[in-house]
Amino acid sequence: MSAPPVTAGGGLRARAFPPNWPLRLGAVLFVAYVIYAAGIVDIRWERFVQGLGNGARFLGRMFPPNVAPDKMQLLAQGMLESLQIAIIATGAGVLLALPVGLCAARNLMPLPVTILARGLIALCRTFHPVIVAILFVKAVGFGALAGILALIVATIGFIAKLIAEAIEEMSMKPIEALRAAGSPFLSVVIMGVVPQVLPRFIGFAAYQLDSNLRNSALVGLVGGGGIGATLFTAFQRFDYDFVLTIIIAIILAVMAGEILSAFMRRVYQDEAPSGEVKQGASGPVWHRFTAAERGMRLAFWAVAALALGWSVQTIEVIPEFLYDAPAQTVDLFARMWPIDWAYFPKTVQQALIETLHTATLGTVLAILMATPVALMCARNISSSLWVNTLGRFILVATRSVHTLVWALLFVAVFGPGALAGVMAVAVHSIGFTGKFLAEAIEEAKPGPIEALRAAGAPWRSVLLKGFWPQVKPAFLAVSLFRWDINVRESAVLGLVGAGGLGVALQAAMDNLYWDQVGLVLVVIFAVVVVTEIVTATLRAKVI
Amino acid sequence: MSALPVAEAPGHGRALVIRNLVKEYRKGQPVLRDISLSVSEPGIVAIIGPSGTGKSTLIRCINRLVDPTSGSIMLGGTDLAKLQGEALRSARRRLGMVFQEYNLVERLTVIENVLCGRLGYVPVWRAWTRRFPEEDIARAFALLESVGLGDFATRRADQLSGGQRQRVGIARAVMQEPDLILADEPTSSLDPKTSVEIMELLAKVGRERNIPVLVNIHNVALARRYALRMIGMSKGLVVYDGPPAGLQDSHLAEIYGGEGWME
Repeated sequence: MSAPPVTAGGGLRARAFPPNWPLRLGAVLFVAYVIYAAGIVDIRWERFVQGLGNGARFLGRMFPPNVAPDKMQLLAQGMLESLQIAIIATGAGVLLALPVGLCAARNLMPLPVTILARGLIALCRTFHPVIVAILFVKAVGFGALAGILALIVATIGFIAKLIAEAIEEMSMKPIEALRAAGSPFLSVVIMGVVPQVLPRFIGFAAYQLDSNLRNSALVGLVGGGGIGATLFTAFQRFDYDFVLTIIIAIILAVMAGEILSAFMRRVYQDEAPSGEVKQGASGPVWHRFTAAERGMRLAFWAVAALALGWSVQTIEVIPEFLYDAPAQTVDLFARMWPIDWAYFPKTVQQALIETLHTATLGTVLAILMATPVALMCARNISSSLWVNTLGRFILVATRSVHTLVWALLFVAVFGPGALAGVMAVAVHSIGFTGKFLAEAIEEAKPGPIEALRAAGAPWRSVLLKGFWPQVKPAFLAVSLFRWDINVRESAVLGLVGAGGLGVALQAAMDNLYWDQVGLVLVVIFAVVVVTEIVTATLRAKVI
Repeated sequence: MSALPVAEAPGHGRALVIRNLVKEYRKGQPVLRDISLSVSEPGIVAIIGPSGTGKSTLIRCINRLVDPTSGSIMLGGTDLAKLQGEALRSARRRLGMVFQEYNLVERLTVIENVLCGRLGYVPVWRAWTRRFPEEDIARAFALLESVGLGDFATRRADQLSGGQRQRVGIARAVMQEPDLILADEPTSSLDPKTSVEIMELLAKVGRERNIPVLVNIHNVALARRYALRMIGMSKGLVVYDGPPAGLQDSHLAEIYGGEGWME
């Protein structure tokens, strides 16, 4: 290749940056789709401005938060019930998830068993806890029991999957040694598997307690008891000042839960217990843990057991409903069969498309809003502590309030429909997207950044040519991952009037057309599976 | 380098004059105690000295990746030590820097990495849309050709070997049309043969562009071979400043301490 003449024509730029036509075409198509979808869900400037006016009035009615004694008592009752729901669901869910996860581990179990266990896990994970809660409300009636059952299902799906993965990732060498010594299967599990998996398992359980606490606020919206029920009632009564009190309480509880679960993980995820050897009456005695470690662990299990016992004792569940639950659930599914395919072209098809539009637009909008917040949070970009803290507060606050609660708020602001859904998805996703983006930015190598600064590049150019190429893969992965989640979330938003498949689901349930409910559930299942396949394929391509 | 415009003869405006430079990362613990030196002649000026003696800090004070505690760094009539914001950025454009770990943006192509040397000159929208001025792109291609990487222009930087990456790093620095090149341990991550090639290239750049190249280097033999002048540093002070031929074993003993290592 010979040096090009300095006076070369327009071909030089094309030689330096060969155009990637498929990528450009893809980008153009995507932008065209976003504009088209925005038109479909009726995102218009006038509506937005009008919504802002409503929003101001709405906010005016929310302030100041209502702290009257009777309201505070309602709040305390709701929060307490939510806490009980979360504790029972986590306890029971984790116990049930253990054998399921063990059965799903391909390095310990025969293939047919793992297939069955994995099928069960997939089923538990596919449906949003809200949908599961609705079904249980129909089966066992309003109240905490439905919420508990729904969250147990979610817990099994999440914990069993992680346990299976943890078991598959562990070292097989101790297992081989134990088997070679002729240990029976249960001994292999207790001595070989449990020690390797326990720290991570505690971490999962702590995370799940945190997540169940958040979700127990959610299942109440559809009749599953707890603070969600209090919140929904307040909404229906237009007690917006009390709504604000409840939302603040939820945010605080979620923050406290995050701190607690982080603490629990720290206790259990430190390196292996150091142990100690003490001089006993008849020679040295070995202890697996030092006294402090033992105390910590004992206290931990005692608190866990006490919390569980207290919750089971005090929660208001009508026992007859519990005994009746299996039969009622089976009956419910029997009424759904055969499903009503004729309902699809009439309503479901359009609702399905609206759900997909909501998820995509919400994700795009979330990324646009999360990027500046992520830049505020990343310490290698904003060195001001105030800016960091403000950014982190925005992330936590948007994430703590669930999409469905945001949807309730935005329905009040923009009126029912997909616009409220898009806004709810977008605002709730800021926390998740922004957190991961900020982490990706902080992990960027400082060397290239320094080189560009040393060349006198202005900060925007440093962002563009130094940070962006490094952050891009994580950015695309996070966006895809969030889109996947948002499809699931968008499918339930209609339950509070924010458009999509949830509207069709609600309509079918109100009319007691269970065969139509069955159809909507099948459609949601299919969409979730397809979405997961699509994102997995795209992720492999992009990264 | 035939395609490149030859720089004008070194004038007074390009002399680098450092006076009483002090840098303390922690109060009362100076890394640079009191450095005074001036560099105006083209070609390699090698700075040698043990690890931790402040060689990197000195280089980084000059282009203000590190802020000096006191002293002045005059270049072409301005005191770099006092510049801020826009003025500092303009001054940095005239100081090329070559790094030990190359510091390329690995997910960008080789040609775009070279063009990053122009980021101080081109407006942000041009960088964003990749509409660099035509003559910049032509010069980037010519520079890549001159460092022997003409065929690699559209490869991604992370596909290159260490020596190739350092060539790109040098091309990026030259792309800035600098009055001075700073090189911070440019050969420490490379094998001996590649190290020689890189020093050869830096010497050539200094010669042809008629600019000083200030190089931090651990390898004394390599420094002697290519430097026209050597600066020995020890404990934050300059203890030798003169031609390589004048550098005696006694000097080395003073710079590095002890003598056993010299055998």
